[in-house]
Amino acid sequence: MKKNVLALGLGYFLVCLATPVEAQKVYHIGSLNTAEQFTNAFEGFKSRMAELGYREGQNVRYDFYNAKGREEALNNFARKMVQDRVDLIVTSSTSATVAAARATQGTDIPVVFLSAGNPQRLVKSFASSGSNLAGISSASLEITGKRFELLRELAPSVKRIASLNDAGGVNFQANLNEVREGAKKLGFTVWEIELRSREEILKVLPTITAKTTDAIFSPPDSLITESIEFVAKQAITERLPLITSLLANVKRGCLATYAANYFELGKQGAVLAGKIFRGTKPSDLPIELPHKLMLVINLKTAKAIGLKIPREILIRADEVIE
Amino acid sequence: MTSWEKLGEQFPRWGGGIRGRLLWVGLFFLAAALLTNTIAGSIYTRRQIKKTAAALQAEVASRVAREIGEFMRRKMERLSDLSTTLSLRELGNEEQRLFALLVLKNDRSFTDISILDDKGTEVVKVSERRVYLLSELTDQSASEKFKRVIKGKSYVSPVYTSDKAEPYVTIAVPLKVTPQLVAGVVTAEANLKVFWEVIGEVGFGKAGYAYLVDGQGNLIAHQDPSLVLKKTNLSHVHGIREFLRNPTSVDPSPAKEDLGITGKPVLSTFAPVPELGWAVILEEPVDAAWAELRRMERYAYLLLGLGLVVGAAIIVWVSNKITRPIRELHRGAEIIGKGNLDYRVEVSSGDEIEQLAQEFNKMATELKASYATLEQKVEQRTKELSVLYDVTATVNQSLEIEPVLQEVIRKITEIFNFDTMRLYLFDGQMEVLHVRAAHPADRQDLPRVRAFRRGQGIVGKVAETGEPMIFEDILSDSRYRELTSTKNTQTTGFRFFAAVPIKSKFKTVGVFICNGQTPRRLTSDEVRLVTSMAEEIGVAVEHARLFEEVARKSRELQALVEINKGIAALLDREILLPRIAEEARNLLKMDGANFRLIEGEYLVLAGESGSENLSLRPRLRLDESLSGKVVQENRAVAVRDFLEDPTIIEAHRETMRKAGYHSFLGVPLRVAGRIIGTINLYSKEEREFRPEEINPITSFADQAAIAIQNANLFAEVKQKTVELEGANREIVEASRAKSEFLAAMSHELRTPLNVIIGNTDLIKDRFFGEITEKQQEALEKILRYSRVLLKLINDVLALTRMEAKKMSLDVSTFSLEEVIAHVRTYVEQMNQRNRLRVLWDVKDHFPLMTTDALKVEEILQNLIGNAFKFTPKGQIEIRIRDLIRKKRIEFSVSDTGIGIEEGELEKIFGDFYQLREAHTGAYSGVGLGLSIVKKYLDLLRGDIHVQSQPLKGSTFSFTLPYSI
Repeated sequence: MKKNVLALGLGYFLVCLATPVEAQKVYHIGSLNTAEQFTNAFEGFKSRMAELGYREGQNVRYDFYNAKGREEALNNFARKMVQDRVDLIVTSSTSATVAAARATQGTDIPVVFLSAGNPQRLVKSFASSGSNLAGISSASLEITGKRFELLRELAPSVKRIASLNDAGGVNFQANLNEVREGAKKLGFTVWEIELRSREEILKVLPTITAKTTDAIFSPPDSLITESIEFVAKQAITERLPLITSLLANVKRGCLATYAANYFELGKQGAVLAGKIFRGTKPSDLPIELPHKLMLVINLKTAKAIGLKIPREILIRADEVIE
Repeated sequence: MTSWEKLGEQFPRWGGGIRGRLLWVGLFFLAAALLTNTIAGSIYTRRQIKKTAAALQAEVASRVAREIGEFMRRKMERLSDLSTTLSLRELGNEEQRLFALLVLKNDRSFTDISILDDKGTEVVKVSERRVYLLSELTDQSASEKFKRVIKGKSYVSPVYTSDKAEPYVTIAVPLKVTPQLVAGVVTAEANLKVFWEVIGEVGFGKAGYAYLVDGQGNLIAHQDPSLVLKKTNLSHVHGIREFLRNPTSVDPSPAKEDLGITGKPVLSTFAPVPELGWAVILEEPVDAAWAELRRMERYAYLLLGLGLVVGAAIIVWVSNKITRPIRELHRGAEIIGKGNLDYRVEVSSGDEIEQLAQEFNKMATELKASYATLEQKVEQRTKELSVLYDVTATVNQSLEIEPVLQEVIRKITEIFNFDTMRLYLFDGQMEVLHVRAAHPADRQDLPRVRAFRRGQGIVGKVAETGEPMIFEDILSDSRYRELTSTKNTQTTGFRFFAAVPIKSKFKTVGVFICNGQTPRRLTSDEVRLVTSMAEEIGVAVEHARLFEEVARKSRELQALVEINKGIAALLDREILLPRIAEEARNLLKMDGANFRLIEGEYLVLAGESGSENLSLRPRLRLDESLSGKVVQENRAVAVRDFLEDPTIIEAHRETMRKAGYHSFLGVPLRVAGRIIGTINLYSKEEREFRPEEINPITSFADQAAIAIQNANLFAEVKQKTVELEGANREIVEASRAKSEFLAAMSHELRTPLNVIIGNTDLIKDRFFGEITEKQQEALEKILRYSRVLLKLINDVLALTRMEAKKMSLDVSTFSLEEVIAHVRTYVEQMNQRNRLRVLWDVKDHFPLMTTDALKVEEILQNLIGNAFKFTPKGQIEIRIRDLIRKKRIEFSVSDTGIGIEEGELEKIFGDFYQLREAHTGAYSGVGLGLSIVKKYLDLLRGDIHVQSQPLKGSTFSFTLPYSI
């Protein structure tokens, strides 16, 4: 009898004290990348996630995939992540986001894109993706005009631009439109060069000379970025200013750019991921713009092509490579 | 015993007793003290926690409001610094542009900066993302920012959202060249997304959140950006309404419980941002806000529960200690009360309770002694009742009287130790008592008197008076010698003698006597018991009598039912009539029976059984016999003895006498209250007919009358059937001859007519040479009327083939579109002169049909032909619909013609039926078209409906299944 009374008392005590205890969840995040230069965004993402309390090995696990410019590999990686039932997919380019969006169609796996040069093709509107997508526009295409303005400030004599473009790239048409509009506004004549492969790039480069153009513009594209050293080499040989769309390319020999910092974009995306993990639906998150755009100039390249950078621009530059 | 049962024993009678009262009072005071303490503590703690939570919430709201205010102030200062720098340069020069670009670079909140001159024209405009050419600079003199700032004051616009779904404000400061002189305006677009981060990161308690509203109650920042982008206005939320009433206040509001932004109860406070006229609102769901409080309350209730349990245990222990001797006494009383009279209470408390226990034990000893005496008496009485029960059970065992009586007196003899017993029962007339049972049954040495008359001897006297007579010793009792008539008992050496009446329903039905070799005195209980047993025997006798009566009636009814069933099934008079006489005779076991049926003024002999020797007259007048008397009086007539009844005519009496009959019973045969005859029964023995004999034969007569009536009707129907079969054969033969004639004639007519039409057509088409116009007209008339005639012949031929069942179906699977195409051609021919407007309501696609296509076409042509014929002007509409659910096709032909009277609608599908208008000659035809349509549709499993109004038109609709 005593045992029964004790059990009864203990039960009452436990019921009174019982409070729900939630086991700590380990989030599984898949990172889908198209090329090496975008991986910096993922590093930024991880660093900010750690600041937000999502520490790798403790409560978050990352799977990193780099398709290295191969579309088929990109799609396979995306499908694998869906099969693995990851909690979130983080992408770092428009191509990767397209693959992830396609693979997650019909599932509830959220996709956060850290950098989309042309987000309009992925989402319903900037206010709401209307789907499982959320992320950051790198604004890379829409500031093409600003890059042309920079070119004019660096080299006021430029009238003709050779614009490289990846004919098979996801942003081909959007890039073309932005280049045409920006050039028209500033009175440039554009030589549109459509490229489909690395071989084509190498083949066309010898034709881009000081006789045929005054400057070269490289868009935010994986194919061209993969061969940017060759383009830079040709530009320096022909003493042509080469304006790129990616910060990393300036270090690889391009003259200058005005663009978002991928590491910062990654950090910005981590905040979105945190919100999603706390219960916000991706479709309720507006597409964000980069918090910060950077002006970076390679003085070595400037010297190599005999270009003197005005002091006013150097003052404004966020980074000068010497 | 389970733990719970043991616990129950520890707490007996909680509701009463000394211990119960002790327990209740103790528990009451303990509970009251603990509850008061807990409730007071809870109230105090609750107030303190709420106060602290409210203060904390207000503090957080104020901090966030300060942060936002500070942010905006910094932006204003930065712009003012730029303005100061710019004032040192010429308006619109490159340096100003450079400074603006440097601010954009260093402060990423600003996305666009413009410099306006004192006329409001933009002279410089730079953007983080856009390129502005000089040609794109605009006049802003009408803008609110310019108009306000040019007067020397700063300006912050309402919050707006860009096309990229981000929140912005426009900040503008004056560009002063001296403290009083404003040379222009510097404006900047500031991105407020940082507020989303600030607000989104505000965490308060477990589920608290913050949001920011402007001076109109519009949501500026919230952890859910979609709410902001939807431009949510929250002026209806109570807390925000309070803020909007006094937007210039600087102090945070005290936290209150209210409905929050989601409509759920929250603890809410707001802190104004005085620089901007905005407010930061903090909300925390009430459940989450008071979760800690609830936990503390649970602890308090736990402690209260534990206190109650421990206190109750102590109170129980103390009360047990005090009341144990009393409970021991109580337990002893209960044990003795349950029958254990040997139990003694053991109490050694040394006080009054111990004395009480000793008295109690003494009382238990006395009770045991009294109980033993009582038990003896009960045992005796139980034995008696057992005997009586035994006898009663024997009486009720069977409804056969002899074995029951034998068994009963055997038992009585054994129970009372009598030497012999004998039982007498009255006969049917209740005059003589006959011996019915004796025990021992095989004792031959005893003289046996088998019967006593009522009042004869002691037995007769007891039967007459209904009172028992008991002689303890007949040798010394003078009453015995006076009353006995046989002295049998004395002569057989018995000394004890008793006679007890057997009664049923207060009437003596018998007596039983008991003898003993030695004198004996019966106690009053024994006398009562013997009398009771006599009453039980009376019950048994009555039961047996009733059982016998019921059995007899049942036999009679069963016989009657069997007879009635037998005759009711007979419809042949030749078999039925003799059977009725025979069954009537058998029913009452009479010697002869006959029955007569009324025919006019006579009763005619219809059947007889066993009365052949009476040489009955076949016909009797209704007023000259006993049968006639039965008819006239409409009742059963019974005569006990013909020979002594002077009302019977002499001749009749003589006939009966010669045949040796004495008694007569006649009953009427009635159908629906009408007498149709009589049944007459004769007996050679003189018999008195009792009602229980007359009733069954009357019932039988009623059934017999119905059977006779049925047999008559059956005979009549049979006759009529034979007549009708003959007539039908003639009609079928005539119809067949007609059909064959029509078919032959039609065929013979069609052949030459086809020749006429063919040749006329050739002549008309000038195959044989030119003809004049008049000849052509004449030929056309010949052709038209020949075709009418051919149609008529074809219709007649089709009709006759259908009547002769020679019509067969040519079933195939076809597309309905083919049939429709043929019908369209037909319609075009009919409407060559476009006399009528023809509308087609036909879909493009129909499912394939499997039926007789030609007949479908013919049905449609008939209906359309009729529509043309009876529509002088107006239109015809042909509609075909697919009834998918029914898997049928519906065809309908509507016209605006002369219509049909309602009374004629049912007749139009008959052969050769024509509308009244058709008889005027205005419309050709013989009235076969619709008849053929109907017959075709019957063959094709179709159905047809007509709707019509005179002078307005008709609609014929029919449906056919996809597949026959």
